[in-house]
Amino acid sequence: MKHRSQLREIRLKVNGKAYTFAVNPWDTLIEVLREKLKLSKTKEGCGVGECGSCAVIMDKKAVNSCLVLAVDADGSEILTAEGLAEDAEYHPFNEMLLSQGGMRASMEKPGSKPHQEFFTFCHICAGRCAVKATVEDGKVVDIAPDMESGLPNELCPVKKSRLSIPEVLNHPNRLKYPLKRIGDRGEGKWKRISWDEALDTIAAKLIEFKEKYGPESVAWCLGEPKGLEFAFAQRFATAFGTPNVITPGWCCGVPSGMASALTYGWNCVPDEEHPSKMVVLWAVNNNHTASGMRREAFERDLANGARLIVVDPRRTDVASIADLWVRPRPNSDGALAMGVLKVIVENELYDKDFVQEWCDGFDKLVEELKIFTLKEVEEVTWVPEGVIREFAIMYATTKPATIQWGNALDTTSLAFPQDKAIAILRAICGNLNIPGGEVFLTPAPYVRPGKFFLLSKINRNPGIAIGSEFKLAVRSAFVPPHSLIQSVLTGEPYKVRAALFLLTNPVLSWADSIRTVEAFKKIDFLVGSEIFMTPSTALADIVLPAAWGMEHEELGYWPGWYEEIRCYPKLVEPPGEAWSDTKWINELAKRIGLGEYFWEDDLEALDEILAPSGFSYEDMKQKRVLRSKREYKKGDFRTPTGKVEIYSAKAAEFGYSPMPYWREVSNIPMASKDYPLIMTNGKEEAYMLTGYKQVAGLRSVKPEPIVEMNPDTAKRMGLEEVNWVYIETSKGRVKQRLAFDPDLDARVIVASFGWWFPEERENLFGWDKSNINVLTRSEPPYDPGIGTSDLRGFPCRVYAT
Amino acid sequence: MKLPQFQYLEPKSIEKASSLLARYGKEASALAGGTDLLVKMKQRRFVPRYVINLKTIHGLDYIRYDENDGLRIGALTTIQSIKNSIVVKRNFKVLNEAAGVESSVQIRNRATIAGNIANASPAADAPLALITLGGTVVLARADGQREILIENFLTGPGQTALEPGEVIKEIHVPRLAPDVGGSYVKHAVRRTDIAIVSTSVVLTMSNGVCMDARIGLGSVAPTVIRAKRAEDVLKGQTNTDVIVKKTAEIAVDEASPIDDIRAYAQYRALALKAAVEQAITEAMRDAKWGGV
Repeated sequence: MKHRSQLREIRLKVNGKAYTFAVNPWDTLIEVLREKLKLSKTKEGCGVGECGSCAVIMDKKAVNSCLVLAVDADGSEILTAEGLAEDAEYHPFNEMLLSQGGMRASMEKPGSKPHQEFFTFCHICAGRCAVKATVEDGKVVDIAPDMESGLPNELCPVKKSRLSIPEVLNHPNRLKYPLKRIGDRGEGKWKRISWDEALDTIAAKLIEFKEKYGPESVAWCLGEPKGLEFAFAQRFATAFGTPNVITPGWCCGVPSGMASALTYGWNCVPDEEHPSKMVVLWAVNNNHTASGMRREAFERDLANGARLIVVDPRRTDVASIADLWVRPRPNSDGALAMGVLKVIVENELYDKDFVQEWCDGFDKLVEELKIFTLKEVEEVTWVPEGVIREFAIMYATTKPATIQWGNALDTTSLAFPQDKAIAILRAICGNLNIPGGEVFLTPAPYVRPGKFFLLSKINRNPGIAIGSEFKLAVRSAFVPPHSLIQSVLTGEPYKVRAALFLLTNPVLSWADSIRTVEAFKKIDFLVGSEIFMTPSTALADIVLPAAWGMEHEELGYWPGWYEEIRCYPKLVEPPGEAWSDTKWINELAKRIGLGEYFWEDDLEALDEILAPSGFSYEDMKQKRVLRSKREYKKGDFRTPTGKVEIYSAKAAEFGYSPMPYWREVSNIPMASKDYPLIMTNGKEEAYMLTGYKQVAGLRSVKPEPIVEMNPDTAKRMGLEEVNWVYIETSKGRVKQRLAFDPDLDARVIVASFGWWFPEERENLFGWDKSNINVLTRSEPPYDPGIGTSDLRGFPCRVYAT
Repeated sequence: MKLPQFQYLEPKSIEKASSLLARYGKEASALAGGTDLLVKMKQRRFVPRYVINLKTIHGLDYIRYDENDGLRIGALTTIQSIKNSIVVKRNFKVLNEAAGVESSVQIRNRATIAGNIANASPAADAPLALITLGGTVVLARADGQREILIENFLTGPGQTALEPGEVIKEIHVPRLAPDVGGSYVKHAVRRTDIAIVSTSVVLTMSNGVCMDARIGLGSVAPTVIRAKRAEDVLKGQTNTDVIVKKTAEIAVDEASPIDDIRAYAQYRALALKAAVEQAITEAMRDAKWGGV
């Protein structure tokens, strides 16, 4: 269907100034305000009028600008937060609109019942925004930003905490009692048992397997840390003697962290204490999902005139307000980075003094950059030469500059060279450890995770880990999930007999869901800890009910890149007999004879981990957070040579090339006639990874999995919006609902990650209906040091259902 | 998320709107406040080829009250206007209360009463109040108009008796008898949330005896419904606690709640019983002591 141009002219006043714009009928008022006027304080959250983050005053009335067509704003007067607040700080404009307590999880008027307010941190995502929780009648009814303590508090625009925490704490489907499987795996028949029986059963099995097959026959599968449970599980594994611990490190955080460490000696984050003049958001959408850079710092930089470059295959919210949006082919970021390096080096835009004094291997880089042309970079990355040049020049000539990188760079077998190229970029442009640049943080004084895991105290035989070929992973105390799948299904290098999982939903989040399910069905003994029944726990032999955030006293050191430790006080009782993971791991350890490495009561660990600081856990309830330090020391590079190692001999120990090579970063999976489209995905804005599909407030924002495609591509394939389509690879197929995105490259589709259906009790909650890990591979190619496989940027095909 | 693209039309009169809607049929949608339509479009649950903006038609935004004729509300009147209206608050209490608990102020400032009715959600608030007030919709077409009781207009979840080419023009609520009391009760997790259960009760009392009863139930059936058997229990009775309890039980029996993401059916049944009891008690009090 061809539309004639429907551009219309609208006139409106915004914050007192008059403007004229040409808009399409489907443009919304928020798009005009953010993209044409760069008024970034009006945020898109849910996009469907639930969260209020897009609220503006239109003709003296508060409205959700995400649901106002621009054409309907013709002739109107608009006031945004910028027009109301005088300073550049985060202004809780929409808090005022919520002053009627509209989003409180209670029908009572605020203040009408006895209540208490507590300061804590949101535990939904790695952002850890400081919040004020209101407890009424023993229930958390509201989570508001903590505007009093000076800690970063700007909530995600969707306000996930407010929309999910009260529900999850009181959800009728929360797991309340330990369960034992009766019937076949996945049949859904359970018997309630006591914690004693559960732990005795598990203990007996672990002891049996240890004696028969060695401690390495037991594996732990962990997700993203919330409090200390991840650390307790790692500690248990070490004390028990197994190196087989699967963590998200295989595709998140570790590739980039290691690329940094093997370039300048440690990891870095954007400096939030001093303004940056150039912010590059590379594969991350700061506005909606957490990364290292807090929203307040980002907003402040923009308000101070910082320029913004966004690298993303999608025109995300931040891409739409950027000075330059670079749209690469998914997985070509390494090639793009090398193209940018080439322009900077060959035009001598780098910091010559810094390079001369502090960089090792620069001459090798210069030689490598001669091997390819910018035209070749354009062919590989789908980014026009001119844009690559503009990116390079803008970045190199604006200081201080910071590059915030995102998860998409880590979810590929090319993660290491990709991330190292970007690390080199930071270094040669002289932005390391300078105010407003990329800072190295001195951690807050608490017992470091590695020490807590007892790795140097006890030998847990990393040499015989499954996946021992991934030397960097094993060095970092984990193995990739495909090693476990291989072990259980093929017996190579030996058979793992038991797995215990917590904080994770492997059926949804591991590559190759079909083989994951096969492995979970085949393994001798499976234990899962969760807050809700999931497709993963549905396959377990024993399911343990976990206490969640706010339901137990907790310290959290995650996310690692802040190097902080935070207090999460207990605010409410957990449901039924739910125990915190630290509690049951502690109890299990005692039953297996590992009590000497644990505590009488798991809460004792809280004081112990704080010991280096001189503070107790009780002190931390007041103190709330121990922060890291920025020291801006010149030349503080903790590498073997003491310099920035563009060429890192140490990297070779882990099977990596010592520096990024064009032949590697340009070697990306090609589309074919059978699989002509390249698939990627972004983090869900309305959820947290695979979780919370059963929360009404979030599910009404995004009820179904959506796959986005360029409309021209769709029309050529005879596909229409609204319809469900199949996405298929040689591994399998799933279906999602189709939406058009005219800003996508015609060869790219963006699918939704992590979809299962808690309401579909049969067939393991529809685990294979829309789950994109049905499409991914547990087979090579892998990153040689960590075992990362391609979770994004691989070829697929799409057709009608 | 961006809206899908569409062909945009701005009729300046009801006649023109009607002829466009008739011409494009299922490929078109009328657009009023947009707080339901634009959400469905963003979620790709509904992608109309043609969007016909009714807000360019003048003269559909009014609230008029006449002591004989009753209340007339223009189709494009916002829910917030209804909430703020003193004549509605004084004379049609349940409509004021229902409007007041719909979503947030940002939504109410855009959402229209016609859109609220046409969207036909079984959880909708103002429509629930209206069916207990004997409310009707006036449906206009190029060649004339007709009037139909709202409770007959709503035929299923998201379904109405709207014919091709028809546009909701006005809502009419006949005047109420003098000794009327009402109460609207909504039970949800948040006041801005969609109801888990809701009820609207309008009673005509005379010397402590219930002369007429209208009991509306929301979120427990394919549409908002009248619990007519429950109403019959109350009629002609002096309302004692026992009668009120029995009425509520019958009302729950007339409902058919389902399990969904907001609640289990069992929970809805319990909550509905409590809500109906509460609403009847308050309506009785309102009839006796309430304001003008």
